Amino acid sequence: MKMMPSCREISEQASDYLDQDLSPWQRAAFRMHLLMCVYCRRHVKHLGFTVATLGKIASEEKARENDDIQQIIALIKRQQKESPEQKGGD
Amino acid sequence: MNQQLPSDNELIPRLLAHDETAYTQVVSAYHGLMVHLARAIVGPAIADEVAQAAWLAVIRALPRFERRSSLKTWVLRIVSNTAKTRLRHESRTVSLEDTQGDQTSINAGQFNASGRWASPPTVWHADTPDDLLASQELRACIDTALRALSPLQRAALTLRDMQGLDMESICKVLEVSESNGRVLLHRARHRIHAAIEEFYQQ
Repeated sequence: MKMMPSCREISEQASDYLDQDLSPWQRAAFRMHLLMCVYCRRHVKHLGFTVATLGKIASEEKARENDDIQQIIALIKRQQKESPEQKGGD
Repeated sequence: MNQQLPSDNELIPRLLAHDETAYTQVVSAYHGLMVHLARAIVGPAIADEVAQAAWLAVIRALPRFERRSSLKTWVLRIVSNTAKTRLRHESRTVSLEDTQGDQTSINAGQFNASGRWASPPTVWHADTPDDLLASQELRACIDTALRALSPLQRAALTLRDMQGLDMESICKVLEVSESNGRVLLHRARHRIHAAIEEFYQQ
């Protein structure tokens, strides 16, 4: 096994690195590369930033869900009235 | 966000008995997530409709649910399948997946023959996600990049980075292999990253 991944390989593994999905060996080599390469440090940091930003966008969207829920419950009740208790499934 | 959801073991019999409290709990817990997933696959215009159709399918199929996955994963898989079917009907030409092949070459141009950076990553003038999102233009760039993803890439990204599901569940929901799921996520993240990078290069 080659000791040190290239910058390109770092870029390819960065997503798995952020998810902690690299093997211990890969992770060690990845970190070793980061220690020595300012560009890859920047790149990985930015990818992490990208992920965090997406999470932020999602949390802003979460506010508006309540009336939908009432509507769905009503829909489910209607459906259950129309087809009460199917015996033994299908 | 919502009160503690009871375990599947407790919930499923109550759902089968048409217990309204149980339904309210499950709908409160999962409906938002379902709409997000539907939106990722079919787009915002018909996402609510797809989520509703998925609920009806869930009610119909629940007596036959074999519990090989969690209720949440199973429900989301029904959303995913409802959405995929709908998408195929809407537009026969749209492919769910990205055309295969270039899984590692998204940013190949950035590297020279020996695999080093050909041009270094730009410095981003932002220290937090809030800084990034403070710029309306950048936000618009991110939205455009999200829309340009394939439906499955967008679904993987939505479930992982916006809704926080684990990869194993995501692969079950989207019915893709573990490695395909990772490729979808990897590509989607890199495309969004590239959009931000481009913004700062200008």
